[in-house]
Amino acid sequence: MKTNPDPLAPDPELEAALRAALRREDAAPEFTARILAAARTAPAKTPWLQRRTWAALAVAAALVLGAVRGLELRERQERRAGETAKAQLMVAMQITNRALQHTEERALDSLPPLTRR
Amino acid sequence: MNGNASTISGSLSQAAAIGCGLSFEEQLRTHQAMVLSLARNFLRDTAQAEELAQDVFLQLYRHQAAIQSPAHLVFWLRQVTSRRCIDAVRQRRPAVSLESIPEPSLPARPGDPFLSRRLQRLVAGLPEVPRLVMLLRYQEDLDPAEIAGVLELPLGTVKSHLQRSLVRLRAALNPAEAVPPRSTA
Repeated sequence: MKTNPDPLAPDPELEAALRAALRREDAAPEFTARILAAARTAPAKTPWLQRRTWAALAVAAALVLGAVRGLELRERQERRAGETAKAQLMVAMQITNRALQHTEERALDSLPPLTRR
Repeated sequence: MNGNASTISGSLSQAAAIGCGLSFEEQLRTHQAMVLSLARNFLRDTAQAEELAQDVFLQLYRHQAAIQSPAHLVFWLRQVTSRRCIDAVRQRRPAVSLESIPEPSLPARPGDPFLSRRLQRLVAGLPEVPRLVMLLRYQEDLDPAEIAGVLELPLGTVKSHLQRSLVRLRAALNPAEAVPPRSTA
C-alpha cells in the first residue's frame, strides 16, 4: 500500500483491497445438499405463538369439559334427590291414606246402628 | 447441484415460507454464500464455518414463520450469523493475533492474492466486534447505520471500530506509517 501520512484519512486503495479480500465465495454443492438433508430430518419447530395458542385452547377446552361434567353431576344429584323425596312423599301419603281409612273404619264402627245407612 | 441435493423433494422445495415468499431451499441457495462467507472470513476455519452456517440455516428452517419479508430474512441471517460467530470465538482461544502475523515479503496491490490473504489474516486478528464490523462493511457492503442495526451497537461505536480497524490494518501493512507510542518520560 502506498504511504499515507494521515492515519485517519480515507484510503480507497485499502478499502478496495479489503472488498476484494473479503468478497463472498460460493458454497460447495455438498454444503447445500447436507443442509437440505439435515433440514429434512429436523422437525420444524412450531412457532412460539402457535404453541401458546394451542396450549390456551387446550386449557380452555379442559375447563369447558370440566364445567359441563360438573353441571351434569349436579343435575344428576338433584334429580336423584328429587326422586328420593318423591318416593318418600308417596310412602308418607300411603301411610297417611291407610291411617285415614283405619280411622274412618273405626269411626263408622263406633256409630249407633240407626245412624248407619 | 449434485444429484444428492436434487433428489431432495417434497416439502422443502415446495413449501413456501410464510411472509418471505421463498421456499427454504430457495432461501438456502440465495443466501448460503453470504452466511458461509461471513462465518469463514470471521473464523478462518472452513470446517467450523460450515458447521456454523449449517446451524444458522437449521435455525432458519425452524423459525420460518418469524420471517416477514426478503429484507427481513437477510437482516435475520446476518444478525444470527454474527451472534453465532462471536459465540463460537468466545468458546475457543483466538487462533491468530495481529502481532503474530508475519510481515509481507512481496509488494502488494488491490486484487493481489497475496494482499488478499494478508488482509484476511489481519482482519481475522482483530477483536471480535471490530472484526464483524469490518466484515459487514467490506464483505456485505453495509453502511455504518445498517451495521449498527445488525449488531445492535450505537452508530458512533460502529464508526469508531471501522476507523480504528482501518488505522490498525494500515499500520500493519505499512509499519513505517505506524504512530510511534507516546513516551512516558
